[in-house]
Amino acid sequence: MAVEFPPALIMLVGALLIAVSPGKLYKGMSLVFPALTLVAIWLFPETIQVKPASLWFGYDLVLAKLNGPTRPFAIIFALMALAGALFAWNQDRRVELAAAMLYAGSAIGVTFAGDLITLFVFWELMAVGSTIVVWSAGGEAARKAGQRYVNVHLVGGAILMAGLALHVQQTGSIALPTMTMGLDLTDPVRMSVQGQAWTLPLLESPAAWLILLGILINAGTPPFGSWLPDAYPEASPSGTVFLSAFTTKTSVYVLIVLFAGCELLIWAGCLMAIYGIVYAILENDMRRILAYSIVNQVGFMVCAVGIGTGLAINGATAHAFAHIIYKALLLMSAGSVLYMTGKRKCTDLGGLYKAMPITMWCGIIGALAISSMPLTSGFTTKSMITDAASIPENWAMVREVGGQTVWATLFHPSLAWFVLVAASAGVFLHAGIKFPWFVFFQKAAPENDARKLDPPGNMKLAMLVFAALCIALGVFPKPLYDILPFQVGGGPLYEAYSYAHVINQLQLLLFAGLAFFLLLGLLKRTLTITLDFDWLYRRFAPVAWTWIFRPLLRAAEPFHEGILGIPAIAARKWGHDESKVDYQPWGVGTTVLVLTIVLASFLAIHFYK
Amino acid sequence: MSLADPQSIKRLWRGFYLLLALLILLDPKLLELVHVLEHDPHHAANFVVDGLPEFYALYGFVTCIAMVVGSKLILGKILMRADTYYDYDPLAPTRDSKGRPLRGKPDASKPERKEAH
Repeated sequence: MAVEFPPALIMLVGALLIAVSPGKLYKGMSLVFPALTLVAIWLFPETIQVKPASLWFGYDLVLAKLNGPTRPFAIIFALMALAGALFAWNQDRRVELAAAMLYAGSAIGVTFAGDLITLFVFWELMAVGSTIVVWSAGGEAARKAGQRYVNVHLVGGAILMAGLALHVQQTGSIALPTMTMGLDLTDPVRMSVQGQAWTLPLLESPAAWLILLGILINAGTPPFGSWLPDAYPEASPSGTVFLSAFTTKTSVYVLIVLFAGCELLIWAGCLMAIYGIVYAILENDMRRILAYSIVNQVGFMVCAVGIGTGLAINGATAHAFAHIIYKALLLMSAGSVLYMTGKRKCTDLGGLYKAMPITMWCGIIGALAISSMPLTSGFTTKSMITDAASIPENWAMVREVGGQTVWATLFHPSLAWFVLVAASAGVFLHAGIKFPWFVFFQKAAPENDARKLDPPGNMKLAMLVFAALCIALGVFPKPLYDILPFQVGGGPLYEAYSYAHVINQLQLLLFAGLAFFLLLGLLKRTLTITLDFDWLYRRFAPVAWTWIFRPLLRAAEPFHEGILGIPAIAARKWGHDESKVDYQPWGVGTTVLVLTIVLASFLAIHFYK
Repeated sequence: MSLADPQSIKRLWRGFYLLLALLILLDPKLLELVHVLEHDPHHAANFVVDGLPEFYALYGFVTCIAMVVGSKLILGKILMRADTYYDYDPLAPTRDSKGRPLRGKPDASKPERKEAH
């Protein structure tokens, strides 16, 4: 049987049904729909393109087709929705589940999108779903964080839309490029669209820059990524698990499809990898630590997309797959601790190793996997990225200067490898040891600790399944390798286990561990948060408006009054009380009116040009 | 064995040091140097220093120390704030209508912060 409709539809319909179904029926549905989607993804034929019956405003939409990395991303998104729903089973939040299905479904929609417009529509639906997930935690903190979250994503979406519109206007095509492997896995991939070279990764047009910026906002790249550690920890225990998976990894997918080989991404990825570690070291809230380690891990993937060889793209895809599993596992473990103890700060936690053994072991397995310890999924996937980075002569651009060949990259290309290896060690430091240590150990458990704090069965089951997957993919990665975008005949696709590689990785990690315990005094938790770029819009902008710009405007009041008379005219026009001149919020109605007039005049000018 | 017992903690440390020593001895480049191991072309040095014995152990240790010290002692000093930083609005009035300072009075609209132990 072949599935000849977009698999995302199943989840989107599911989201609606979950929202309106009577009684407790929605719980069962939240498991059934992701499972059906998983089947549909598997049965989706290699070659077909699902198109609407007719052209849409003259555009040839492709609602679903298999692009290179579609299958692994779509499978892990559906699997994640399934495990997340299982984890959320006992936490009666219907709205959250419906929103999570919308969120996961549209993420799957993005991976199947065969053109830029479909991709954008699902991209925006994702923002809607994820915002509702944040909001459904309830409470003032979640409301405000969700507000900031949706603002950032709407701005990001508008920037992406502007870029796509410019691109379509310049090229006249909404087609996605096709990726083909070079001669070998270690050669750069080639991207082409309708026989022409795909030029977006060269960043030669404003359209390319806008599209890249729009995607990087979603990927959590500093300085645009502070929405991530701001919003994710404010969601509910299960909400954070959903949130961790889709937005950033969909961005990685879109970067692979549109920007493979874009050099800027190498350095953006390196920045993310280090930045995530530095902030995770400073944070106190356990879910903020894990949120920053998402930034760190996505940094590896973004860097791999920038490297753009077949091995690197395979690595980014495999790492995204493994990352979603172990990151969800870590957040499930943290979520269980929060759910059972109500505590979220490392300063309040610790000494739980006797009370929640299953949660602890699952957390430790997730922590080892994120640190790419041999025998876990991180080792068999992330190593591809560092290996790809270790041969810069295959991917870094060179140019001729005075008869000599020099690197044409922004920094010396070897920097990427050194940063990635340092970041691999740093992951063990901030997530691999720090998370389990401060949450479960740190201080001795009470004498004769008889507390039974392991969470209810469904949460335990979700954790155990993902913990098993972390190990399974580490010991037997072949099924994952088999669905990666680039395949070579003969022999395994990638061999992670060799004597030197295993020993070197263990050396790197365990000496990082030594550094952690030697510096434990310095790492002592404090009741602090660390300011990130969101400070600019949470603190700086309101204060600057109140204390600088507003007074300046008011100081200029006599000038406007006397010379132009504009405020008075405006006040008469819109019924403002003249005796009380002040800058008041406009309200939506007036704003829409002004915007309509501006846009209408643009239209008029365009017609008579 | 209990984790609260200093004796078992000491034993854990000893085991950890033993493991580290073992890893230092098993370093592939070291073994190549003393001809225990054949040179593996898949793990040839790409950047000179990664071909030196014990590179990974040293690099992991040094970069981690640098990252902790750099973030805690440099960036942290500049960017760390009390975790109630965003709970209070810097633009909220500090004096009531009669000019009496509001600061120090419990704010009824905000929940009391739980003190950590």
